Amino acid sequence: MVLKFVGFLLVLASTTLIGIYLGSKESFRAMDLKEFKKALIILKSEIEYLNSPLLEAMQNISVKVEPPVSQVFMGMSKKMFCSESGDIYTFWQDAVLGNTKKTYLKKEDIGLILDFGKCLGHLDKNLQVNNIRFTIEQIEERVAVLNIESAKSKKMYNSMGILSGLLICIIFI
Amino acid sequence: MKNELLSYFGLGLHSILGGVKESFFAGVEEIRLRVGKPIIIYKNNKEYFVGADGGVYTDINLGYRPTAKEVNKTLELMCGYSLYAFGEEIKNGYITLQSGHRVGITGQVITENGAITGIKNINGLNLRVSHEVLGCSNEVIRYVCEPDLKHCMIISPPACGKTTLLRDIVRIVSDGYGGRPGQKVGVVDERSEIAGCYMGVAQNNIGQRTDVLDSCPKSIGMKMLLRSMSPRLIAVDEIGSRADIDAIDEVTNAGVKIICTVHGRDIDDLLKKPVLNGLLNKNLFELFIVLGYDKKPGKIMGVYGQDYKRAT
Repeated sequence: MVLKFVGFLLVLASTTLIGIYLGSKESFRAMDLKEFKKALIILKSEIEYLNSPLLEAMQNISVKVEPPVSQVFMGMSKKMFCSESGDIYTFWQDAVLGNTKKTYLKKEDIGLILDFGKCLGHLDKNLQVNNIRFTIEQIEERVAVLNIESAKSKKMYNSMGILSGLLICIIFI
Repeated sequence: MKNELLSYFGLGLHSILGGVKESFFAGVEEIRLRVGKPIIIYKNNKEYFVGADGGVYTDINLGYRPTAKEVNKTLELMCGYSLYAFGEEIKNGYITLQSGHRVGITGQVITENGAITGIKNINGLNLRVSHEVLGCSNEVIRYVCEPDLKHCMIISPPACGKTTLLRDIVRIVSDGYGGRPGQKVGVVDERSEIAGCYMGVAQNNIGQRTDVLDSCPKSIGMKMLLRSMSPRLIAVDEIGSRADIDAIDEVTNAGVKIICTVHGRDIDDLLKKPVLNGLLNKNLFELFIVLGYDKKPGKIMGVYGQDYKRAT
């Protein structure tokens, strides 16, 4: 009987934790997007005010933002430093796709980040700055939506976690 | 030298120039790329053509003709994939690379209200290789430093080594000449050619007591150094504008020595430059060094005193 009770408790705890994790996933995604926004703000300043070349800017960003987002910029600077040929978008693609596996970003977020790389390095500084602004705006919109949605889904997943645990326990009683 | 230069060339050009023997790169003065025209390398005042096999030929017909894509890719690599960061320099028709190499750019110039806003459809690049020649000023340094530091002007046609000579004089004055203590030297390196700064750090040897304002307009930089760094000598390359002359006036009035370079063939050519008339009429400069080309750049053609009379 005691063993059964411990088993039920374990099942309940596990499903509750799974519920909490699933409910927090969207918040983590929003946090990654915010970190990416921070990186873009630094990049904007590097380009607009410091006139830094991309390699220098990427290196600076990689030490100023938190992992795993920093890995994207670190990866990009490594690609740029080591490659003797290739184009900047390919470097960006490789850096983003190779270093976003540990983030909570979804396919559509990665698509947005990849699109951002299409204008990187072009001659027109205004284009660079406007491209960064545009991406920041899109991130802000996405984060705003996520904040609303994650509040709802958090409650739902938390409740589902507990209820599914209880359901399993009831079935096995 | 070969590997450093090769890193600037993209696509097919990388492997073509990679086929050229390493020893050939020593002493290379210019590498010229023109869309659809043979690659030309200038060395010892002679031109050589690089073939598609990486061979170096004297027959123009054997030269490989780069495509527009290859030339554009090369410019991209030279700018570190950051063309926007070189926007202002590109407007002036050149960029300066790490180690101080300068690249001239030609193409379709975009203008707005008479001012150049950019260059597109790049059709030609001229990589002028910077050479740091330690000791190249040995022949003239005593004129500059003895008995005391002098206001000095280096006159030279393009590509005859005036920046190289200026750099070496700066180094020697900064480190100390002939047992004399080293002097504080300020360098305004508008085109990053003297110190060859990369990420703010001088790549060339410019002495232990030298302060560099990199990528700074000469006229502003001279005044900045004067006010902030108390230099004994200020060095600038290629003066020519009215603002430069005014800044030199201010520097010399403050008792700081100036060493500068100017484009010209000889003293007579210098005296014909209207913009320099005011400065020369003040009899400010105590020494003029004329450079030329004799089999190789950097030949001292003459050293002249304040009265424009030949000292050697």
